[in-house]
Amino acid sequence: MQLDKGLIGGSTVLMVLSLLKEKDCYGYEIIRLLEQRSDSTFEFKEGSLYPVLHRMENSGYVTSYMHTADSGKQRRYYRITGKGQEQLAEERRQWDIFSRSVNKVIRGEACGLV
Amino acid sequence: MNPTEKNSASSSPSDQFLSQVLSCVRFRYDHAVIRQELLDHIEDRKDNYMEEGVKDGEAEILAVSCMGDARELGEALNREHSPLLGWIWRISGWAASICVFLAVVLTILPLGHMMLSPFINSADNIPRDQIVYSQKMEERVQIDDRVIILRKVVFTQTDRNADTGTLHILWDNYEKRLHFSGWGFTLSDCRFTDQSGREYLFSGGYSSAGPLSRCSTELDGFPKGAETLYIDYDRYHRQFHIEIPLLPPGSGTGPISGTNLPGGDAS
Repeated sequence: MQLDKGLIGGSTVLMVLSLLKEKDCYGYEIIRLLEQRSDSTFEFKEGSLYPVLHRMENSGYVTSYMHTADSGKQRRYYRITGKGQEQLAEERRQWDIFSRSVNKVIRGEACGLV
Repeated sequence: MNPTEKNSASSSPSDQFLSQVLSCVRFRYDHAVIRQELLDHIEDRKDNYMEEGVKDGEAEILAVSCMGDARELGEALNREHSPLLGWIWRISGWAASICVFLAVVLTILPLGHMMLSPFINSADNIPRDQIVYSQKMEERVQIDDRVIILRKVVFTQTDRNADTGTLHILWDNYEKRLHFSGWGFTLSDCRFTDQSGREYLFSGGYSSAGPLSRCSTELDGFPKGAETLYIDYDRYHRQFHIEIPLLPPGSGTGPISGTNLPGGDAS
C-alpha cells in the first residue's frame, strides 16, 4: 500500500526512535523491522532512512558505532541517547494529541453532525 | 565503445548508484563512511533477495532500486553533511590533538625527565682514572618519612703513592610521603670516623633534585688503608649508626651493618 509521503515523513523519527529504544539497530535492520511491524504498510525508499539517521545523529538523538554481529558482518549500529529518549517522549505525546484530534474530526463527520 | 561507456560497463550497479549519490555530497571527507553504510545496506538487501531464489546479478539490481533515486538521496545526505560543520569538527579534532601534544611536551615530559633523571644520570663526578677501589652496598635507614640508602663507597687518589685520598659516599634519599615537609637531610650532618677513631670532615658533595635524590658526599684526607668507616647521625633527637667495612685493593666485599639508635626508625 502506498501511503502519502507526508504522513510517513512526519512520523519517521517517532518510529525509528521507538525501535532504537528497544535495542540498538543498524540501518537495514530498522527497515526490516518497519516492514514487519507494519505488515508491509510502510515500504518506502530504503535509502531515505539514512539522511534521517544522520540528521538524528547531528541533533544528538542517537549515536553510532561499528559493531561486528555474530554473522561476522560489520555494520554501523545506532543507539538512542538520553536526549533522544526525551525527544521520543515528546513526539509520542504530540502523536497522541494529533491522532486523537483527527479521530474526533472524522468521527464527528461520521456521527452526522452536519 | 567510448571510455565513458566502458567505465559504466565495468562498474557494478552498486558502484554506479553510490558514485551518483556521493557526487551530490560536497564534504568529501564523509564519503567513505557514507559509501560503506549504503553499500552494506545494498549487500544485505541483495542477500535477502538471493535467499528468496533471485540470481546474483538481478538481486543486486533489485537491491539498488530499493534504495530510491540516487540524486535525491545524495542531496538529502548533503544537507546533513555540511562542509562548514565538517571542517569545524575536523579542525577542532586537530586542535585537540595539538593541545594534547603540547601538554605532553610541556608538562609530562619534563616531569618524566625529573622522575627518571635519578636513574639515568650518575650522581657522582668521580674521575674514573683516579679510582683505587669501589664497593657497592644497599644499606638503608629511615628518619621520620625520609629514607636514606647508601649505594656505594669509592676511594680515589690523584697520587697513587700517597697514603690518603678522597672517599666518596654515594647515597640516595626520598620522602615516603608527598607532604613536602621542607626538612631536608644531608649526610654532611653526620660524623665520619674510621676504626682508629679519627674523624673526617665533609669536604664536598652533590645532590640531584627530584622525588628520588641521588647524592654524593666526599671526605678528603681519608686513609687508603682504612678498614672500617663509621657514620653516626645524632640530631633533632634522631640517630642512626652505620658501619661499613672497607676493602683494601684486591679483597672481596665484607658484611655491612647499620642500625637506627632509639629515636629513629629503620626500614
